[in-house]
Amino acid sequence: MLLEAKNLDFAYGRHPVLSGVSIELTAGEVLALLGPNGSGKSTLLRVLLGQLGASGSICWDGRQIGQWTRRELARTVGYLPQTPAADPEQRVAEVLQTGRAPYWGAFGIESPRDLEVVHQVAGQLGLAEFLDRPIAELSGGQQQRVYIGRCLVQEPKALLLDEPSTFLDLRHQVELTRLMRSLSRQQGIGVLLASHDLNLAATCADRLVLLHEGKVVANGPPSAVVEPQLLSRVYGVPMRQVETASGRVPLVYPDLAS
Amino acid sequence: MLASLAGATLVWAIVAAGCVCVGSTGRVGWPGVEVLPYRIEIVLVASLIGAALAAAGVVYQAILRNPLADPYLLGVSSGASLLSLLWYLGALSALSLPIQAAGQQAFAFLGALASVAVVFLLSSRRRRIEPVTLILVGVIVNAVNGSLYLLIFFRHPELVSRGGGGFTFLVGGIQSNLTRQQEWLAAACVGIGWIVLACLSGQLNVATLSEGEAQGLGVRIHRLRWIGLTTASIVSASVVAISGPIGFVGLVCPHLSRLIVGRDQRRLLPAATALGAALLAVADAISRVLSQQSLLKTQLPVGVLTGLLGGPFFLLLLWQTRRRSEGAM
Amino acid sequence: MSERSLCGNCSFSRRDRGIALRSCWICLATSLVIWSLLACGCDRTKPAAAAGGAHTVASLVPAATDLIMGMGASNHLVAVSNYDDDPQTTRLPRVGDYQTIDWEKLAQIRPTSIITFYGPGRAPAGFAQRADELKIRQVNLKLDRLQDVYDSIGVLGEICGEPQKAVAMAGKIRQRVEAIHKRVAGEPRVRAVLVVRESGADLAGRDTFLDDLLTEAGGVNAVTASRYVTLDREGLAALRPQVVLLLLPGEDEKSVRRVKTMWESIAAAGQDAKGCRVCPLTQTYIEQPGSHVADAAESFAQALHLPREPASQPSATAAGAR
Repeated sequence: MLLEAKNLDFAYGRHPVLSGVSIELTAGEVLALLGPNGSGKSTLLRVLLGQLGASGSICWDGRQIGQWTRRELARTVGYLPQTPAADPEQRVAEVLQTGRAPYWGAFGIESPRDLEVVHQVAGQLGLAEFLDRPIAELSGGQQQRVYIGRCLVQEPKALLLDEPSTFLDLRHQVELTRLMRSLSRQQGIGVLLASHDLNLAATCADRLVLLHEGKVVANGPPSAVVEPQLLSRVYGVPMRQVETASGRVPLVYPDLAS
Repeated sequence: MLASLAGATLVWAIVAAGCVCVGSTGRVGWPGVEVLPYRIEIVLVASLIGAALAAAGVVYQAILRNPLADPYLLGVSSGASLLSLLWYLGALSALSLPIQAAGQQAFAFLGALASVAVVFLLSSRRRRIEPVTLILVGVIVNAVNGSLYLLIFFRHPELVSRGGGGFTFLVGGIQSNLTRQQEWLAAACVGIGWIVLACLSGQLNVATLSEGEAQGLGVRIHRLRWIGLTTASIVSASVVAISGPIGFVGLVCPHLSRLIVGRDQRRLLPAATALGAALLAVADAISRVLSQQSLLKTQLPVGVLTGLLGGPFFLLLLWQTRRRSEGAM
Repeated sequence: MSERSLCGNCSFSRRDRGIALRSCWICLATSLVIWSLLACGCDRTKPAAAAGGAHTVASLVPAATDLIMGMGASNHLVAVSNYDDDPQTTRLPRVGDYQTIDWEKLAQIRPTSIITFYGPGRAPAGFAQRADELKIRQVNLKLDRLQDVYDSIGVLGEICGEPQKAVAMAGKIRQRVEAIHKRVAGEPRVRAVLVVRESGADLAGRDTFLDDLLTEAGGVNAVTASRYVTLDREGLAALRPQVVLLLLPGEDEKSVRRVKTMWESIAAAGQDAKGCRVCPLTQTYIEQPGSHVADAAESFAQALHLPREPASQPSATAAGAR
């Protein structure tokens, strides 16, 4: 069990954001976190990383979060926020190198392994020919790949992604989905991604967790969670299901007619 | 980091050797034995000040995520000036003996640190400091210090006259009457501070990202801000205490170095340090030479020259870079 | 190969290298220009050979320089202050003022004494350290009052090794000042102010040597505060002096006229409309506690006790009679 979190409670001041949230992640699994705005998805990701203090227990790789140092945790978990900050004139190679920060020695001295890993990841993500170019010159999809590459050079066992496909077009969204699946299947990385897109999440994830007003209202395989009535209640919009071939995940869409 | 440190030191050494060759006596050339110690001393002091200000500037700009940040943003120079003026006041009072014994430089140092401490205190919430809040509070504290200073100055205008170096201290000029102990103390502060900053330079690369990302990459961002800003403030306070606020170096040298070695803080820190040291050594050399030309009555404070030298050079380089990037598109 | 672009510390692209190269060229060119300018403009005068023998003096105080020259000991002077305007000292090297000191030149010149004018408790610690290293005797003068001038003459005579000349000069000045004092003893004291800068609002108060000279010249200072004061227009108008002495050494016509007009308007606006005489004094020595203090006292006396000026203002004597 890569991640085991139980009974998480968190509030900003007096405004409660998460109540009694429990979540688990295993290696090689893709877990999608769904829920409307304000349901606490982004907050949950930061809480899981120990960046926000919450009550409850969080266990990464069998150790309590309090026993991890920041650097150790950074070598185990990669995190990509919704709007990653990067200097537009920075080159792709430099952005990737920044991801090796958890491994740098004193005075920021790098080891040869750092360069190897950056190379490897760049090749894996098809970024090899862009290494010398400023990141601002790349397209949205390529930029997102660079940021994911920055997470991957941390050599993590788990990836936490906050709405990674928000600013991407359809083709790039699909590419990202494929990438997530290959990372989880081939490298055994546990992927936890927060998403707005119900159907895409349903197709790529092994398990879905649905949050509503800071509580977990559903946790299971897509076929169980993608249920029009439940989703209508959570999202506040009437939903209908589309019949698909058996064995495939059901699709839903908002019913504007009724 | 090591390669850039070596290269930067070499460049500085060449420039410094050139600065030793000029002075207020004799022709351009390696000086005689009686004058050599003085030349070496003044070039080293000027380099120390320039290096400290530039290094502090690099760290301030990285942590505050603001390209216009300079070492005086959080109140170092206004605090130093205020307390050095109070030293003059104190020297006339009943407490004159212990105050004189402490020396103006010690007072200035304390003033600088006290001012920064006030800024930190006012802008921290739950032991965390945010860059934007820091900058705003810094501006306010600077303004208050400045007003207090003017108040005292107009009340007692005779304070600064007939004091050893009062006016040049206030506009930013290397004091010619420092004791050896003060110089060594400043050098020690700057040296230790620089090593701490160099240690942090890797993390500074990450500090420019958002809080969540920085923490996600293993950097304890709040601890980094505290340590980085405190160390940079101590480094700049030690040199402001011996020279008064010399402007421009801390702001421009990081940018100039960025144009030459790029954005990586691990390379930027040594490069900016060497550039600052060289810039100030050259400015000081020019002011020493001008003083012998009888063009000006007295030695021009170095702060005046740094602006005149650094500004146009920086504009030229910026203009070239922009022209190239526009041409490339 | 992109291998090169990832090499540890130098990920230079071609563009960057171009910029770096160009900036190096600019650096080099600028330095060459600067060094050649410096080489051309270098000071070629060697410091004057110490004709003063065992007693050589570097004076950072123009008033002290003036005293030394007045007593005839100028051959002992080997360096002066940056602000020294005296035409006789143009050949001498300038080694600083109370703000900065050129230790390099002093190391070459090696005077036996150096004269400074630091206020009490304001001598920098580093100054003592460096002067001790060069084995230069530090003489800190006090020139606040007239008596200090007499005392300083003695001190300067001693460090120049010419005590007799010092005694002679001090005696001569004292004699002249006493003569002036006797001459005006019978007259009523004239209420006056001493304006010391071209702003017109900076005045010399009590406990200054200017005030001492004024007293010797038969005047009484309308300003009762100690040392130097700055007053606003209201404060200036409240003083109501009979004579306003404008001490503007070396100022040009225009400035003098401006201050004179300012004071005449202040006087005219005064409620009693008593006659007030405004006298500009522009001799270069008028404010200096140097060898010409007796001449300054004489100028004061003449200005204070002068018969009426051919102007539209009522005379001072007539005003005094009222």
